[in-house]
Amino acid sequence: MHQAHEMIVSGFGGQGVLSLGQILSYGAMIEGKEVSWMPSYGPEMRGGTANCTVIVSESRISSPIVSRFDSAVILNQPSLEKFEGSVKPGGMLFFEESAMIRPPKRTDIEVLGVPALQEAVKLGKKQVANMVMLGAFLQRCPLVQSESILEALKGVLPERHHHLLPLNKQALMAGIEFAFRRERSSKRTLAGPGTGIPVERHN
Amino acid sequence: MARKAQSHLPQSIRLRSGNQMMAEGALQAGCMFFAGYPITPATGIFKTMIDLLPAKGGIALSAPDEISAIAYCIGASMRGSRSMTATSGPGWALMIESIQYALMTETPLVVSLVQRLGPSTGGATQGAQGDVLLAEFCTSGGYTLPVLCPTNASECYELTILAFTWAELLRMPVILLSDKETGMTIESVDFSSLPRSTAQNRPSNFAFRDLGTHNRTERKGTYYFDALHEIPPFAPVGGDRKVTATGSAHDKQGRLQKNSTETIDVLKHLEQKISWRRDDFVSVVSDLQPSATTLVVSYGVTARAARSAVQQARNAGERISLLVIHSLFPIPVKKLAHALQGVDTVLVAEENMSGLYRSVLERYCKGAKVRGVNKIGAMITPEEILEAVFEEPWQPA
Repeated sequence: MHQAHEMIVSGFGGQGVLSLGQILSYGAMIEGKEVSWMPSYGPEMRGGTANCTVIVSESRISSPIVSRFDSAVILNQPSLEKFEGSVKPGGMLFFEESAMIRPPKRTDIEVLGVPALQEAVKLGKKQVANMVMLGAFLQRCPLVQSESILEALKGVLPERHHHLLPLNKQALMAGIEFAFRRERSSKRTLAGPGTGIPVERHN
Repeated sequence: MARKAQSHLPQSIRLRSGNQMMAEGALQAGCMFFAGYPITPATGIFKTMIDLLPAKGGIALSAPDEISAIAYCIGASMRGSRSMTATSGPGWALMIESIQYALMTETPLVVSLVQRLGPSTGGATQGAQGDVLLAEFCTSGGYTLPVLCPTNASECYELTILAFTWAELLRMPVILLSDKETGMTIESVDFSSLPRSTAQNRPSNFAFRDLGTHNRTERKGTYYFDALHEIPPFAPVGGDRKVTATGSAHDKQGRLQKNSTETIDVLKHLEQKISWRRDDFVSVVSDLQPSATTLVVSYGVTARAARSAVQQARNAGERISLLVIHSLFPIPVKKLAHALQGVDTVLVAEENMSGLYRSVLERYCKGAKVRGVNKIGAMITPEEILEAVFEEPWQPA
């Protein structure tokens, strides 16, 4: 891992954008790292745009705002248009497959489309799509151990939702597995980070 | 390289927002009364106080509006409780009448003002640093009100304790000027590194007598002082002494009067009690470099971008100093003068349109060229500060 990993998570309000970032931050904190989670959203309760900047660092974080990101997790089209250009060359971009009419075009970064919503629906609750996304992210970018994420869920979810912990775990695992399978298939084509070849282009 | 997840996280490290830390700082400072009216982005303070204060034996009230909220707090403080309220720009506009009343009646009070984009209801979820002068110059007559401005969650805690100490010692309202990003960003906070002290007490009749600083045998009125800068000993409303509180011009007994020498003295005293002590009531973080020719001055969340920018500029070989100001008012004139030695350019970075704090700092920066880094609608990035430092587009290494 770098000294600091700076990422953006962005989508519509209600997609679990802010909680995805918060769970990741909590997990990183459990592992003793410095974290900063900065939310940004509109005044609407639901349906507005929402994003959060998450920084995970081995040392003290000075600025919680950054203009360019090591990775981006994108859950809707407007966010993709806004943030695709802000990912550092060689960085990573994860996006919700079902949400994009115009998929990302960058070729100097690793791009991974994740059918997170579809996986979540298979599990019976589309609300856990964000956890599928987080799983896929962590498989490609192991900032935090998945055990820490499960630990973090206990801290972030209110007690009354703790019966949903197993489902969230399943969703996380589904994401990890998806990215793992994609990795294996892409290795044959020598794609991936550092090769300059995206894992997959969605045209 | 798989690392084992550490589930044995030290108890002292927790994830907290600036708002939560402000509330926890207030509890540590001995705040026993909170009244508020929810408003984004200050609601986190309100919610945390409602959650935690009753268990500490204090009272946390949800007021019907901001005017009532601050009025409740003033009442509680007059009775002797350390009190606090929290709001944002639109609520602050409603509180301005009452904060002047607190100043005039020499009532200790802490008001947390978590800034959002204005004017009017503006952008509820949009950060800004546009209330700096509205906070400071909210009184008719332009009396100095202490304004403390944290840059991160830990400082929210520390400066809240400091705000209570200042409010109590000076017997006046103190403003904690936060902003949406500082208040709502969640960070890892190591509680073991935070101060354990509580806020100091307001000077009471007893304290004065015990210290022997005043050989007064009897109390000479609610606002009695000998020298203009003296802080009158506090006696609670409803106690064994008569206390008169009025927002109108009054003498040292609290009797309504106008234009008498004593009344004018009371007004001068309201300013003197802080301006006489201005060199003691200072909180800044100076990161000065010998022979630096550029000084970056910043506060609040923008100070963090400034810190990052200064680090990057130094890595690029620039000799540059940084002054992060917590106590925006009274202006830390001596610390500023010290930081200005040998400096020919001052950059003041703040998230507002016209450079509000720069406009009051300029007169203390004689001999240096003062420029602003300003922006509204989004936070100032380290790159934007670097571009101002080098006066050309910044190419990251």
